[in-house]
Amino acid sequence: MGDPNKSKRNRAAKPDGEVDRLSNLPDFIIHQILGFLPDTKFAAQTCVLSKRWKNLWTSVSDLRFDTIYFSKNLRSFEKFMLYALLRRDHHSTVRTLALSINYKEGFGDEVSSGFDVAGLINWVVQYAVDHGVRHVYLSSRSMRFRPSPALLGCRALKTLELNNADVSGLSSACLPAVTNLVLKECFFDEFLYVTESTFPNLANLDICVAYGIDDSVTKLSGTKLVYLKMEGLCCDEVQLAAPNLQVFKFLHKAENGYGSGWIMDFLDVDLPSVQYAEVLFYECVDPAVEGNIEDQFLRLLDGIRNAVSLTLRVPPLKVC
Amino acid sequence: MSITTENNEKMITLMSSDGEEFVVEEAVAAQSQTIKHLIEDGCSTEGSIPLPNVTGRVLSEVIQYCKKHSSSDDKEEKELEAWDAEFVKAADDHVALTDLMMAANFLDIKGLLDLVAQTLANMITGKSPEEVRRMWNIKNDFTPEEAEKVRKENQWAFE
Repeated sequence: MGDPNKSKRNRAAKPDGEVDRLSNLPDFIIHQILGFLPDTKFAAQTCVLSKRWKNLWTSVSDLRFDTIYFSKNLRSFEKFMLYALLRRDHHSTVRTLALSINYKEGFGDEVSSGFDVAGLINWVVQYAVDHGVRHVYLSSRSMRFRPSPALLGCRALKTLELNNADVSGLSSACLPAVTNLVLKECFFDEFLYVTESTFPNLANLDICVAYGIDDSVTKLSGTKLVYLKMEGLCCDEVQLAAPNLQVFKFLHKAENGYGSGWIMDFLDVDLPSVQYAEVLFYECVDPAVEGNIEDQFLRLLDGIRNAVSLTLRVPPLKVC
Repeated sequence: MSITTENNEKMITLMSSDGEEFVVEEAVAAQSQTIKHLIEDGCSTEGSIPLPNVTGRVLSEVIQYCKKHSSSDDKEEKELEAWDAEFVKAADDHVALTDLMMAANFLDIKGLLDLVAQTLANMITGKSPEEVRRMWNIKNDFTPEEAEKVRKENQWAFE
C-alpha cells in the first residue's frame, strides 16, 4: 500500500472538524453502514443521536439478533425483537436475517420451563419472509429447531445457513433461488436430500457435521453445483451426482472431532468435472470396519477420477 | 484513448472530478460495475472516462484497491483480508472513509463498499451516543424535552 505516512497526513489534515460527514451521507448509505452493526440493537440505539437519526434505523434492511448482546434472559431478547419489528418501517424490505440464540447461563432454565424457542425463530423468520428476505442465517445453540415451511418455501431466498437444526424437511423444500447452503451440526431422520428438484440453482454446499439416524441416506445432486464440502457427515448411504462440480472436499471426521467412525456406503459417486479434491480419512479405531473404509475410499476416488489436484489423507489400506 | 501494453492488456484512462488522469488496465477498471458498463457501451473509445463524483485523491485509493483485487485469486483469501485491513487503516480518518464509501457506491464496487461499511460500523459499535456524537461531530439538536421523550420511547433498545 505504498506510503505508510499517508494515514498520518490524512489524520493531520482534519481542519473541517465541524462538518458532520456521517450524518451528511445519504439515507441508503447510512442504512448499509447500520446493517453491518453486529446487532440491530446498536442500530436502534442511534435514534437518540439527533433528529436526523431518529428514524434512520427503521429502514435498515439487514436484521441481526444475537443473544450474546443481551445480558438478561430470553424473554428480554424476545421483547427486544418484538419492539424492533413493530417500530420498523413496514414498507422497507428485509435483505438479511441473522438470528443467533446461543446457550447462556439461565437460558436453559427458561427453555425447560417452556420458553418456545422454535416459536420465536419461526415468528421472526415469518416477518423476514413476508418482507422479501434474501439471506437467512439461523443458529440455535440452546435448542434444536425445525426450519418452518414458510422458510423452506421462500422463493426469493438466495443464502441459507442453519446451525443446530433438524433438516429432514429439506427434501420437500422449494428454494429455487438458493445458491448457497450451509448446514452446521444439523440432524436429519431417514433422508438428507439436497437435489436438483428442490435446489435447482444451488452452487455451493457446505455440510459441517450432520447426523442421520440408522440406515439414513444422503443424496446430493445438482447441475449447477460447483463447490461441495462434506465434513463429519454421519449416515449409512451416500449418493453424489454433480456433473459440473469443480471443488470437492471430504473430511471423514470434522475438525472438532465430530462424525468419527461412522461407516458410509458410497453408492453412486459421479463427479466427473472435479478439478480440485481433498479427501481426508482419519485413522479408524475399530479394526472391524477397516475393509469398509477401503471400499468407500476406492469408490470415492473413482467418482473424482478427473481431478487435476488431489490431496489425500488415509489410514494404511490394503489395496488388492 | 485506448492503448495497449506489451502484454496486450487494454488500458483505460479515468478522469477525476478535479481533472486528474489515471491510466489503468481495463481489467482493473472493470472491477467497478459502473465503469464496466460504460466500457461495454463504448463510452471509452474517445478520450477518457470522466468520473464527475470522485476526486483524484479518492480515485487513487479506489484504484489501489481495484489493482490488488484484480490481481489476486481466491486462494489468496487470507492475504487479501490482511491487505484490506491495512488499506482501510491507512484511510481511517473519517473524511476519507465517508468519501470512499460514496465513491464505492457510485462506481459500484461491492467488495469495497462492504469493506468500508463494515469499517464504519465497527467504529460505532460499543460506543455510547455521546462518544459517537463526539467522534463524528454530530450535533444533538433535540431540546431537553425531546431528548427525554425519544429516550423514553426507545428505552427498550437500551435495556
